Amino acid sequence: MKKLLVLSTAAMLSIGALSGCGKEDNKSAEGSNGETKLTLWYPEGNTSAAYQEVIDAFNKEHDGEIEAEIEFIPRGNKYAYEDKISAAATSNTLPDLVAMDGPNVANYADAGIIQPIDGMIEEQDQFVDSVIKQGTFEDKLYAISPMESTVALFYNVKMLEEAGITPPKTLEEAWTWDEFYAAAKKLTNKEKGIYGVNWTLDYGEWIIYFTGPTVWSNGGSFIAEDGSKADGHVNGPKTVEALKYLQKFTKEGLVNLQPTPTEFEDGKAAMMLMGSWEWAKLKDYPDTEWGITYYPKSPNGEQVSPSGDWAWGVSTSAKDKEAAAELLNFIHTKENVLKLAAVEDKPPARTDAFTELAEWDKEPLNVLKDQVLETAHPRPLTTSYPVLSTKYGQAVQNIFLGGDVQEELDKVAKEVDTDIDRKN
Amino acid sequence: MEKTVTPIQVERKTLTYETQKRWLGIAFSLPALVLLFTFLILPVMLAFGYSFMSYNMLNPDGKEFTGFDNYIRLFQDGIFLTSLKNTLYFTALVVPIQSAVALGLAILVNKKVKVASLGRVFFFSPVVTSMVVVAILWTFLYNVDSGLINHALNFFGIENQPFLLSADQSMNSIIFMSVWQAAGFQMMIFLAGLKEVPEELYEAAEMDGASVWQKFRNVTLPSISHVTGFVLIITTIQAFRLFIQPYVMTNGGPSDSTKTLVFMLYENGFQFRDVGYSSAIAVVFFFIVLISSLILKKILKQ
Repeated sequence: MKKLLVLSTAAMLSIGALSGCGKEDNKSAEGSNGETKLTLWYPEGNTSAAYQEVIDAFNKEHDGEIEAEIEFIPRGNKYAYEDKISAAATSNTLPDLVAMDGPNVANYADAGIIQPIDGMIEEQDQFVDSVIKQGTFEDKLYAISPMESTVALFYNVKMLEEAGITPPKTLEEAWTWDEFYAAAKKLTNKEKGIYGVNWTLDYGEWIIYFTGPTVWSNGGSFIAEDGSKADGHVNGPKTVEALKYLQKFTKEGLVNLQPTPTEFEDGKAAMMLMGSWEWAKLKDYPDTEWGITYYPKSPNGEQVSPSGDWAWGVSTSAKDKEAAAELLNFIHTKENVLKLAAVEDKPPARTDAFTELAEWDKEPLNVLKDQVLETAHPRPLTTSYPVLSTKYGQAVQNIFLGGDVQEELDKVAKEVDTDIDRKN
Repeated sequence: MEKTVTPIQVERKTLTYETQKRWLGIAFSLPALVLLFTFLILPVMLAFGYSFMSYNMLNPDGKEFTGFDNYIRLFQDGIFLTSLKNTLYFTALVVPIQSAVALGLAILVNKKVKVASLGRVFFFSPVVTSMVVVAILWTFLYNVDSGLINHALNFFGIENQPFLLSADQSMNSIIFMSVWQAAGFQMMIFLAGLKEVPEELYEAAEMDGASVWQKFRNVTLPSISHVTGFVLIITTIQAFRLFIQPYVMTNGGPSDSTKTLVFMLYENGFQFRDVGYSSAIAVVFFFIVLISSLILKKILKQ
């Protein structure tokens, strides 16, 4: 009997030890000396060091009151970061402040994992419209970001000169579709293996982000304004027309479907449709002289450019909302916005920050500034955004490989509408 | 008067040796059983339950019972049928090819020469490399313009092939690289089987004047039949789980030509956060694998 007792105790202890493993306190809690603890998640990247500095400065200022801890999560080139947020939401282990890509705001807000931050943001009128629009869901502000982004057309100065092409210098003169297509065609040199344009084809968020302006500029859309229906929008005539236009580039071999990551930098592509963050990387290739011009516009539409960067929201598991607001505002002061934006040379999301950056008034960065301030367009706000982004991305890939535009986009509409119905 | 004494049954205070042994066995296996239950049996049971629910991953409190809705939707979903077809196609090709290649390699490196052990290392090294790394490398090899494979084909006068960019070639390209990556593992198992075959059998066959083929057909194959059965079953189960290659190399495209059941499960579960629907896929997938393994076992027995 004694032996049995010993054994069963041992067995129970082993179970106890097991259940002990899983315990992790990730929520805001009172620290040992009475200070509030705040946790933050941000995707790992070039800004990590700068963010760490901002958080350290915050902790110094609030010594003994609030202690913030930021964790950098690897992102990968797909949706690894979003997967982590989903998993944390399920197990109730979300941090107090969570960074998210702009278009996910609606999905997270609708699921109730982030809470409104209406009235929490100081000097909210200083932020550019696109940031506020992207962070708003059902008339409430849920997220805000210190930086913005855009996509512009980078070009190889020498190649364009040789071909006798002068890129537009002002927003009003921005290339129309036909002009852009003609330039790409002229610059493509199949014998030398030079492509007219380079655009990345990854399997994540990028596709809807970089092709969006072509669609919007043509008067097309991805989903109804209220997010209730994709049919007639993502497969509507204007959207189809826009993608048929882009398909011309791949059909005629003006774009490499499997480019090397440095095709433009190596002089194997004359132009590049790329994110605003890319120009900082181009500094590493001093042999290639480059410039930036505006995102081409549809002949029957307005000038549009993509927008959206990593935005901060407050999760519903945040206990101390006041402390969270304090930290949120600290990250978004003019000084810190400038500091963070400087790391990747991203455009700041505050108009008053731009005035401090003389460099952004000159070529080539003025192009990016113009786009952020004048033509930025947020991505669609819908709770079915993950389905839309994924299915649209897959459809566009098929389109670039020669698929039928209408047929592919019809499939997207059907999938998205199924998802919308499921949620209602 | 005589007192009647009812016999009192005295309970034994000490356990018999047998009972002690049984309890000891249970106690020792308890940690393993608990782990197995928590991480295998429980999730399977939960998935089964979730497959009858509408369940948004971000909103666990909002789940509700919806009966067979997920299954009805699943069998009407064109992508599910495509994924099923692709998975079966992959399995049907990979299992025989990979097993044959593995057996061939095993026979090759079973020779008693010094190069053989070097060969073992060569053929086994892709197995220890992470599949993600292998998949990324092969994406470069399959590149249309600058890929090594197309350069080699050009050398023999064959035009550039689209490989991963073509709906007709993408799955075959993935099959080829999968066989290359995984055959080394089955080779090792076959090799262990080959080492067991008694040398005398070959000597006897030689005395009878058997050719190389006859020796292989009548000595080697029957002697390693139990190993072959094992290899076929694990390869089948592995093949059904195809995910990393399409995830890294093609994203299920072009035109869903490399979309598999597990890919679809991941996409719906994690990206679209539709836990109910992806659980239904998991349940159907579970039964497909189970039935296939049972059929295979039956065939192998004959």
